[in-house]
Amino acid sequence: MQLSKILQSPVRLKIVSFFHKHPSTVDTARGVATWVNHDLKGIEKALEKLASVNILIAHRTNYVTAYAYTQNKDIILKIGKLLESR
Amino acid sequence: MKDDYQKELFERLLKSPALEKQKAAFSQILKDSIWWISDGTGAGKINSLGDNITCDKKKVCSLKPLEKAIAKSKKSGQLQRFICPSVRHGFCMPLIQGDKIYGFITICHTKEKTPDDILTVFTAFGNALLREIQKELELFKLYEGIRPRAIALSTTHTVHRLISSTLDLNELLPRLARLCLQVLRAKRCSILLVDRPKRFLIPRTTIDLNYKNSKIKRKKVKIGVGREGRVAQENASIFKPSYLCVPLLEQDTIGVITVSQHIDKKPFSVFDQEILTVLAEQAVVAIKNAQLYAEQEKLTLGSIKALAAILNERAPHKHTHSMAFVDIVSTLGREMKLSLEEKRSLHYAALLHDAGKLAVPREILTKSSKLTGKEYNIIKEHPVKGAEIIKPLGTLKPVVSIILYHHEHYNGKGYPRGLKGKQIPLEARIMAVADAFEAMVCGRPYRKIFTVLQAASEIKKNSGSQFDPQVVRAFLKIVKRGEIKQLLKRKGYAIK
Repeated sequence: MQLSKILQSPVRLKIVSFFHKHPSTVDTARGVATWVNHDLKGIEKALEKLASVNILIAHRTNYVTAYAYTQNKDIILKIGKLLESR
Repeated sequence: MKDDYQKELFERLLKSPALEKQKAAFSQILKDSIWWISDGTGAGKINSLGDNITCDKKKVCSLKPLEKAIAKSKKSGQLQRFICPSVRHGFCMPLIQGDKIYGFITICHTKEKTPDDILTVFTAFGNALLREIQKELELFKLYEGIRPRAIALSTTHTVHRLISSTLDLNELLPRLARLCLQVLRAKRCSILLVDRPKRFLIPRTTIDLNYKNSKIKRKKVKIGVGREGRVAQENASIFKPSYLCVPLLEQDTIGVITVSQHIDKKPFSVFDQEILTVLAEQAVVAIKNAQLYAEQEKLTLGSIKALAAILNERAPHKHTHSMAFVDIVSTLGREMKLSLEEKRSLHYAALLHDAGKLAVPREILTKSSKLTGKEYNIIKEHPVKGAEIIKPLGTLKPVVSIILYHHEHYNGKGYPRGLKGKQIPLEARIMAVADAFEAMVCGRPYRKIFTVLQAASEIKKNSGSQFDPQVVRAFLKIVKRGEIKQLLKRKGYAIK
């Protein structure tokens, strides 16, 4: 996973910055769209991408999918450095 | 805190577009003027304007008169005029609200003395500017304070939705533990539930991020013994820097949740304890619902089994289906990736699908020779009769259509309605395959016994005509894996 490449997308960067600042968050795509002030469609796509590369964890049930921040310390550390450098 | 506020307000003032507009407008009137914006710190001790001052021009001007004007303005809270050594005019206006001075706008280097009416307008503008920035700052502070709480509230609501979306305790508890780890940023979470005699806490799930791939086994905990046991007995949380344990409280304690080891090695906060308590409150409702549902399921299944037993009394296994049939149907349902609800309905339908045979005379059911046309027509009525028997049981509503249509053929040549393809419910299409297979391999008095492979080949031959090709494909997969043979052997059949 090349973090800087993944975070080139402004919407993904917005989402990751949000979860990095609020790591205890567990929320749906609609919730995240509200917090980062972005359209739902773009958020849904970006959340799935971030979950596929393990930056986010998707909690899926038959009725609802919610996303949370990774618990992997190495990834969190790398993200922290990358966000600081921007 | 107060200083921070004044500093932040001053920073905002400097960056304010309204100030820029004011400067542009007044610069037209106050020709050649130099603007100084200084903060309100120093309380009468301004010896040097140093870092606290921002100047928009690099003109060299003696600061002494300016410093004096600011000091006077600070003391009086009033606007002060002054004259520079270069005989230029200036004035200093304090940015004041109540008894607090937030800064000063100082104008110097004007050719002429600024008229009083201009100063009145200037003061009004300055005050309006300050009020606007204060309002903006207050709103920002409010937003910053409310936002994390709103996010936390949304999180607890989402967790509630996630844990309420299952009634299966085996699914609910690991999900809940994972969510607790997520929200509290912890490494380990255990959920223990009180057993029936209320003597022990039974560990139901433990998730440890250090041992992701291994199942953690824990011993049961006697109530009153150890930290978890004490929490269960005393209904009081334990709150340590690296360990939290809260009771799952209904009228009585139904269990405990423990969370330990923050992933950043930070101590847990009071806020964390509060959050875990809220999660535990939500969990109690979900756990109780799941337990009640399981009880109800047990009751329903008991009734269904009793009904199936009555049916078997009337027509023993060799004339109807064996208990292996139920397992074949369930295995096929699993292979078809049915949902939990669908699998449950299929299971019940498998137990009850021949309930309609209660309406068939016993001599026809137990006849060992070939049926006459009239007898066969009576037999063909059993799905409708079965559906009629089950219909009044409201909780078995999804089962009715499976029973009613399990003798329909994919090509529309079955009975009782002659439904075709996807018109037939999937569960009924599954049951049709299992029904035919079981009759072939377990045998009937009027029919020879097939081997598993012969029966599978017969099913394959009728794929697309009698049976749904998709179901047949899934069925052949489980036959190939040897699951059906194993299953029949387990049920005591000497299968070839």
